[in-house]
Amino acid sequence: MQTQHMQQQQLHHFVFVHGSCHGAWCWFKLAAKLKGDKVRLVSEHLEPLMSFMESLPENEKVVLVGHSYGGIGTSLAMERFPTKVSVGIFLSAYMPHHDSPPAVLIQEYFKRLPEGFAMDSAFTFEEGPEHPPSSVLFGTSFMKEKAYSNCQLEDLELAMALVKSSWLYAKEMGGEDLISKERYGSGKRVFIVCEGDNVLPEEIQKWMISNYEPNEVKRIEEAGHMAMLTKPQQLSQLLQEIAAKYN
Amino acid sequence: MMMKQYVLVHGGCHGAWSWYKVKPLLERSGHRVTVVDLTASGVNVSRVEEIQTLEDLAKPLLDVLDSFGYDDKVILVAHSLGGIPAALAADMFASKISVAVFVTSFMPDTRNPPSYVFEKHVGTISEKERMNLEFGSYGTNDRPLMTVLLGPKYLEKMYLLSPIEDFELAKALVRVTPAITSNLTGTKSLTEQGYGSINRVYIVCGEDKGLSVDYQRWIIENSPVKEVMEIKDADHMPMFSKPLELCDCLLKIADKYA
Repeated sequence: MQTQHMQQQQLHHFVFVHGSCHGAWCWFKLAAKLKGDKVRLVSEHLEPLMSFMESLPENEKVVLVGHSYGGIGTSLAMERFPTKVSVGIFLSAYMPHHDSPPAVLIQEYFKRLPEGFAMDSAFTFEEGPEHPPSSVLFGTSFMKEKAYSNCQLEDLELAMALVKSSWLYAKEMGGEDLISKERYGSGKRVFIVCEGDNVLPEEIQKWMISNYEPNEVKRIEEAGHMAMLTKPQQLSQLLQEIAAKYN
Repeated sequence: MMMKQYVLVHGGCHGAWSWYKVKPLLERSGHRVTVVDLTASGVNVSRVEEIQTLEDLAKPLLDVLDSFGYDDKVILVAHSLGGIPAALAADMFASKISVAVFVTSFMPDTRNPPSYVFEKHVGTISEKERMNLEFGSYGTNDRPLMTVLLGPKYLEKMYLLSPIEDFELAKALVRVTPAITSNLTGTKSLTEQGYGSINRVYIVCGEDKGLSVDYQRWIIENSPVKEVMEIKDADHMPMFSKPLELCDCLLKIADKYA
């Protein structure tokens, strides 16, 4: 006998925050999958992110998903709008501790990277060589061999046509009162570990998790750094599960 | 098989990124491919207000063609509105073009201003469809210029047969583009000796709901080409809906004319 399991379609509002050198475009595969399941979504840069959050009606909550450097924007949005975020999802992303400025993570990241890790990426150092870089532009070899190592050639081509230099705002992210226990710290957080990530290596992802334990840790096998491109199906499923749980 | 050099020019509101599927296909066949962001397109940092002439719009393409050696020849491929700056480039660098390919594109003639085929098309757009385009203005009172942005509903029509991911991509990436009016291009036509002297091939997209097949055929009639090819089930964005078929056409064209 066949039984049909009717699942109630729940609407979630996902807001995606991209990483350095990228833009809203990198979520294009997910946008299609999630929208296909009747979910509204928006992906934004940092400032537009804040004005978007501002514009949300009183009782509306969103699921914030930050990738890589976008984890910082995610934490700042959770700080500013704690009641508007049902859960912050950190997808192989910077996840700062509420006790330290976000810049600490950026410093820690660059400290832990082995020599030559960045390959042909170009950095500027406006604060001097002892400080973390001010801006980064991923190089072609870095893109091919590290950032997009698990990706289809087409996706690498797309990225090559679109990546541009990003500021890291290490100085601005050094403020002591950017994030707090009461606001950002009171939010729900889930970290998604991306296996095989050559930009934010697993050791660093694990260090961030042990440094500031989230509510839950999930994992995507063989994802590389760009899980939204290599594993859109799994990621989309995972995001919906998490959203449903922390609704 | 000799290695050929392609230069791919995107359409209005789009960028070099549009060719992300086609570029690796052509390269896999052993050819070199250069994709260009026209001014204020893709990740080009200029603002649309800086575009005062057709040459301003085409500048990045002109620079690319200029960079090729005296004896190098390219296969210039233009999509949609990109046909007009590409035609200007062909006019200025005719000796470097082995063939110009217009893919469901606005292809100028050598009698009217370069803007003619586009301006005529805008005249045919219904009131209802016009609402799905966002118009803006810049320039001066003496020489008013216009911008246009493809709205989501207009994009949807263009991407009707393309993967939904590519439609999402486009919505995240389209930028305001200058409307190619005679105020922008001037009234002087492109030259017989330059643009008029090169081989031209037109690729018709059979299911195009952005630029109708009728209009594409009128464009060809207005300025006959060496050869017409057709991709039957292609919408306005064959680089997304039919990348293999488009690549196939481009390889055949290279074999024959380059």
